[in-house]
Amino acid sequence: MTDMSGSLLAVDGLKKYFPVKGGIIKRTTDHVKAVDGVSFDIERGQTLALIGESGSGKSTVARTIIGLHRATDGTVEFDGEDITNATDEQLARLRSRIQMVFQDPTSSLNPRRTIGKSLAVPLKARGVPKSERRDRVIDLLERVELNDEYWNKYPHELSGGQKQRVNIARALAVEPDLLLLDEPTSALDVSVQAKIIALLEDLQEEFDLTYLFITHDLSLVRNFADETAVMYLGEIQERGVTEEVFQRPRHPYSRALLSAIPVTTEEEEAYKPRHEPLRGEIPSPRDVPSGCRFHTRCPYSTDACSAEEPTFATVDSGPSVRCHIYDESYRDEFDEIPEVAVEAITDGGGTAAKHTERDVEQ
Amino acid sequence: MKLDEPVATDPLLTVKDLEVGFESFDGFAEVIDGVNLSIGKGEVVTIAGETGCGKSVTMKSILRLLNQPPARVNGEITFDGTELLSLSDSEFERVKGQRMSLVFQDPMSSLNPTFTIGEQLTDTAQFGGDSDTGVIEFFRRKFSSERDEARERVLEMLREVQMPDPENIMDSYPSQLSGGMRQRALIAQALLNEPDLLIADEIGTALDVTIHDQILDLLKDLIEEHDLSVLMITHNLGVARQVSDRVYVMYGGRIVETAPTEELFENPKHPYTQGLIASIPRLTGDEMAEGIDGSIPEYLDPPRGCRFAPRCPYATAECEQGRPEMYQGTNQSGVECILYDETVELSDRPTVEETRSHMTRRSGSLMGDD
Repeated sequence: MTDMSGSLLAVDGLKKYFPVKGGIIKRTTDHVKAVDGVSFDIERGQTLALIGESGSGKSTVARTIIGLHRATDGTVEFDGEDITNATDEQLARLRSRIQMVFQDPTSSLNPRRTIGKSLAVPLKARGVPKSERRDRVIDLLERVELNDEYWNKYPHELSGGQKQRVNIARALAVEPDLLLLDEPTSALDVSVQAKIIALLEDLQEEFDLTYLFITHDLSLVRNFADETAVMYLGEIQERGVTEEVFQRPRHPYSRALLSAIPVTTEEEEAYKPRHEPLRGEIPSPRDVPSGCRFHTRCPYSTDACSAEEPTFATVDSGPSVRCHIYDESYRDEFDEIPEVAVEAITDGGGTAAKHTERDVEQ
Repeated sequence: MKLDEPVATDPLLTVKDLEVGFESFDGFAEVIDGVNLSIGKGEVVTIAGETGCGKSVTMKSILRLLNQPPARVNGEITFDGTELLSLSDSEFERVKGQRMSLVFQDPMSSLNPTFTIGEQLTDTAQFGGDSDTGVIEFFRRKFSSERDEARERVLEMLREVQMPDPENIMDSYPSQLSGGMRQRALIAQALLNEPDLLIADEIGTALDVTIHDQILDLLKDLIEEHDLSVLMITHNLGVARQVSDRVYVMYGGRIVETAPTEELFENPKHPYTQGLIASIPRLTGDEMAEGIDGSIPEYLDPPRGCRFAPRCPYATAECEQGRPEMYQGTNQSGVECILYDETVELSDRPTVEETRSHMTRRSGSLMGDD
């Protein structure tokens, strides 16, 4: 953990709207707000987990950072350099410092190339002379605990876990600083998933890597990530130190997510927040609900929630939460509030919620 | 091989010595090797295991969904006193249509995209288990008041599965529905003809965790209300724990352990079950094992003895010699591992903690496999 160099990646107010075209002349009639004002930063050597359901915009965030989508608004800063909508020269440099590992290990490997060839491509792009490439590839394979037999194998000869190891090796070939891991284990069985996670942990330590880890599986995040951000409909709803988010999830959505995980032990069952099933399903990002985006499914929602959008504010100087429950001026409107919020009142007294915007208004 | 298998009391479905193999260009693959299982009336039973362990093949051979050849199915499958494998196709269709239902994993590909939900479900209500309705009878049912009655029944069932706005859903096509709604429609379809046995293959796995949770809650309510016997297939042990009364753990085409749910999770016996449970990431943040070394057996040339032996940290020469017996415990439990022979000292039997430590932080050796 080298904190001295500050944050490696800083994302500020990132927005990505996809236009919806309609009519005869295909005018833009509407926008899909896939990412709508996401801010976070990751310090060098740390892991930030981005969790949420499908359609919440987690992958779009990663793809916008790496330049696969053009950002609609906001900035992405990498190691002090503004890389929002990077130019081609910038991208050429960045690609050797930021790499991505995708969810589906099969479709991210060329079926007609041997593993050795696939791994040599990034080396070639980096200008490693041909004579050295083979040794470097075998070295890479060893890093991900595969032996040199794999040089000559084709992707179809490998199991899912092995393919994902090759994908990780390929991402490491250019010696990046930041890895964007987009659900790297969700296509794998648990016993293989555990192995890949252990490998990622080892590699992070060895190369001082920084991870943005995108997943929908919360239990995986608990040990792996330093910070956790929960996304819903293009916005981060809660962000904080992983332990805090897990031990005392504050946003009703985080609570629901945690309580919905099927667990295998009694201790975990006791650990989960009270079971609060959500109503309905995630709304379309084309037609975002007014006020708090979560109010259509929230078990606590009141009129205030649909009328006004809550601000993203720090609670108890711990995690930041986007919810009216933690704002004193709204508290009386709720019939029922989760225990964590009650604690916040009694412990924190009047300073329970520091809503910066409200302070400005006053 | 004769195994003294623990069976359910008052069984509805019994599978005995099921063997399924597949002919292929590379030879004969012995996939399912002597599976015994039973489901009691009103019991919810889960088959759990990883990809490629034979869960779906077992389910498909019960429902006769495998093409023979290339598949070869041997054994005895008894459903409420009737031997299923010896029935003719049309007799089997009748039993299956009227008394069994299947809910598949992928809710999109199990619904016909060219018909509305209402049409599909009403057809099921009218013609379920009736594969040889004559043309005249077909038109009579389709265009008489029976159709309206059936439609009413479908609407009622959609309400029962808590489908939002059921009247409109009846006239919607599957592509207009969300994943969770499609899954609800499928569950409604499965329950229309009041089956005795419901087979659920990875139900809700393709859905998000909050929707998955809703579907499981719904399923639990429906099981209770309709007094269903259920065979669930899942790779998620958490799901198995949440819904089922009893769990079968499959590995390499065999059932390696069975126990009532609580017992299985509190005291898993087989090294595979222990490794699997230890590999699940914990919400509490306890350390998790680093997975099980090696990969599932090659079915063309499976290990001769215990199929888990090549990956098992406790394997001895004896394990490779022959298939271990199913050692019966108390209370409908059993484990197929020689460590549970009476002659083995209690202290020599592995615990989850031991298995976990065997699987954590290996020395940096290279492995050929996952």
